Amino acid sequence: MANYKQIFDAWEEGGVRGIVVGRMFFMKDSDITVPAFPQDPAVYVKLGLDTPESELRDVVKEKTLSGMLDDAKKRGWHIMVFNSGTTAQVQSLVNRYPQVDGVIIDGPGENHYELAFHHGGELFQTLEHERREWSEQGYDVARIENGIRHLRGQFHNLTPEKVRYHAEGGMLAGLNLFDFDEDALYWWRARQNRSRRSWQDARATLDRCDRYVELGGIPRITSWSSLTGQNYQQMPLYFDYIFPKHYYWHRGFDGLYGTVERWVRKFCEWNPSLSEADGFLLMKSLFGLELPGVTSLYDLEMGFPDAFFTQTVYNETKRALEAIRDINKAIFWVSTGRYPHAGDPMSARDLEGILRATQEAGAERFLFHPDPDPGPSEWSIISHICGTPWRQSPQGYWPPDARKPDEYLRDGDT
Amino acid sequence: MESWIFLHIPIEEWQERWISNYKRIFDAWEDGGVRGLVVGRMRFVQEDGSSISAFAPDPRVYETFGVAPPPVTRREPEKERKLQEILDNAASRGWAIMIFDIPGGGGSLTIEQDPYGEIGFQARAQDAMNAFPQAQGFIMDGPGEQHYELAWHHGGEVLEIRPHERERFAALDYEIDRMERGIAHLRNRLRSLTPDLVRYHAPGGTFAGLNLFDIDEDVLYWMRARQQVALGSMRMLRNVVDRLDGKPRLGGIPRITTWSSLTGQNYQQMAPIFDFIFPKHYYWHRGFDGLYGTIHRWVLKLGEWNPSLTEKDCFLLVASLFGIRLPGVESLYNMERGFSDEFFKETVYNETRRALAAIGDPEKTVFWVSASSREPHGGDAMTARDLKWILQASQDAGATRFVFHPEPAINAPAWHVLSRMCGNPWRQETSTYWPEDTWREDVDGYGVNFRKAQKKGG
Repeated sequence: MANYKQIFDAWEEGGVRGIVVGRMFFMKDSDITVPAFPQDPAVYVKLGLDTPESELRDVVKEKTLSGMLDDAKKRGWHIMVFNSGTTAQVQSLVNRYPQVDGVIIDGPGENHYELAFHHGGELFQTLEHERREWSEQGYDVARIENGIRHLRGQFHNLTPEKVRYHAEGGMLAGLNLFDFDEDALYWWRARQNRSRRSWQDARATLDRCDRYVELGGIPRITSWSSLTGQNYQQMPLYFDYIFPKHYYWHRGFDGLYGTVERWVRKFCEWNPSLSEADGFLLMKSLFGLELPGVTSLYDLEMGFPDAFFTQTVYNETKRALEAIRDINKAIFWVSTGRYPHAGDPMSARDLEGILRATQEAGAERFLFHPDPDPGPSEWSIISHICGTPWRQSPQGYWPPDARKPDEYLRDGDT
Repeated sequence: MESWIFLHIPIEEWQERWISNYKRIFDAWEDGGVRGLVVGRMRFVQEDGSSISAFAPDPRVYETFGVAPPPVTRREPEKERKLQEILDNAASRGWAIMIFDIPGGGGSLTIEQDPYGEIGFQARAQDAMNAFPQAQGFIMDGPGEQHYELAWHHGGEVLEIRPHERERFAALDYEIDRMERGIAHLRNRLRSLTPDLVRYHAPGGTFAGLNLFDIDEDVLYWMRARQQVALGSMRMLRNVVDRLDGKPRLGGIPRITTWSSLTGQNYQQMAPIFDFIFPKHYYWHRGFDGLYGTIHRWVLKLGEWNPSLTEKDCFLLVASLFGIRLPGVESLYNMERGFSDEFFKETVYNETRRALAAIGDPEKTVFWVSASSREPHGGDAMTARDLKWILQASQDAGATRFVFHPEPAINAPAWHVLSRMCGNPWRQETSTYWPEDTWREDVDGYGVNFRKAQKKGG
């Protein structure tokens, strides 16, 4: 924050044209957080709501942040805030930071997508709030649970011959392979309706603000979208921007390699007669995913071959663009770095592979999500692709996620 | 590989130069590696085009089951005797002999009491097996098969319930209204497809396919009902065979794996029911039952129903439904150019692998191969190269046996391929055997072998 002008100058020169800021709180000492904006009592009164108790503020930081946003706005950058809220909360936000164009919801309407228990959930479960929602929406919850039970049973009863017979036979064979019955389909469709309803609610929440607030959503990439319920064709009705997650790392959470690995491992655990290759065939059957050069879990440890980008990332991007049908709405959310979502590191080569394939498939915009911070190699690639290529210099911008060259530090600089 | 040959009856098709020469032909075939025969249908064709049974029904068999025997027709004792002699000769060589197709019908039970026509079928099967003791069993073509063409073709279309099917579903207590709703829903969806919908979902596997085709519970109910009825039909055959005298062996000829999820012929479910499964290695264009032709008709129909789709989109839809991607084929025109090397190495290989994986017993699996044929099931001609590479891909994938189905009759290049792969390679210069469907100037003179074309007014 203290150095934002120099950073923004460098970013602008490197081609940055928008920022996403959030979540909206400041860190204080001892890991205490305070909101980055106050709840506006007048908003609550106008909406007929009880005024919330006032919370701690850090007015100095609010002012600095506001200055940053002013600076970004002067550059013509688009400003979105990461995370939405109730109408009153969003209205309070835009009252305090009128520079903000809109808000973004991470994983809007997302249903769980991991077969193993991971990241707080698993596919074959219904959480209390989900049961409540379904019940309120008129769904037969007992039938949903029957469907889950049936499908879980089938997922535990797979044999090599069954997999090798059906897995390559498209959807019709897939229905046989997993013995989808009407109850399982009922559950699966209920999940999708739940997603859609949440988007309707999100849009309606913003539409009650006194000015138009843009809405963005960050769904998992296309291959998972049929399972998460985040139908890319339905989302544009509610969202001004869709940020498909170009998340490919191994381990951690939300990365494609990691999710594939956990599914394959779980399939093999539940069905000990299956080989790893069978597990990958199951992934192909369910999601259409075929990772180039990958037929074993060990292959996943080897990282990403060129074909991964030119085929897998390219295809994911193409599918997303086909579904969204508005190039201005599609902004790919790209993340690489040392700790991408706590996963295995992804190198700058991977970043470039993702960006090149994305561009090749027709995308025009992306958001870079450094994890934890941008490094010099990443900034070199981004600036090279999007603006004036960065050239490191002692007085210039230095991306924070790497130690500066020793000669820059000779005189005690940091 | 071990080869069998299908002697396709009406016997008159091959009588003229075949029956009188069968010993020489069998000698040549044996030398070329043939180890089995499939013979049928067991009937003779009359001059007026009608057909009569190739054996005399035994009324006592029908009485045993309380079934009215087939109507009495005239007989042709000399042909019957010759047919028995041919089968005796084949049996003496130790060849496997299976009868092709047993007709159904007969029986006095209502459809509610006997929804699959088990009693009548049992009587006819016992009668046929008694009449041809040389045979080890019989083979049913397309057992349990549900319709698989999107366009109306070969007597049906997928999005319909035909009257006899409706009767059976009703007798089995299926909800016909619900099935009709499912069909209507799916038909509507299949006519409402857009390029973006296809390109987004089609590569996304089963889950995305459910969205792409908007499969709802009624659609699934109908689809599962088809499969259950297919299974019921096949189980009926097993029940019958288990009760027949002599415990004959049961064979079934399903469409190849890619279609089996739609036809209801689940290879895994078939394995414990049938003693032999004969997956149809049928790949021709046009005609009926060929893989190219069926894909072509699906793509054409999907394009007709959804004018905004490109041919490529329609191929994507076929891939989404059936998992099949034809190497090098992205347009209908590509299909006119026949079969690439990759087609055999990838498509035929994978079909074979999947079939073998599902059946789990190579001895039980006898691929039913028709190629090197001028008119396979009324379709475009297939060459000996096609035959060679189908067999090679099958062998590479682990198959050990096949039945060759010549159409209309075996020809010289086919016999070169078969004998080379399965026995002693045929040497046409020195052999006394000459495959019937190849013109031979020194025997036929000019024009003689064009009789089929002449029959058609050619």
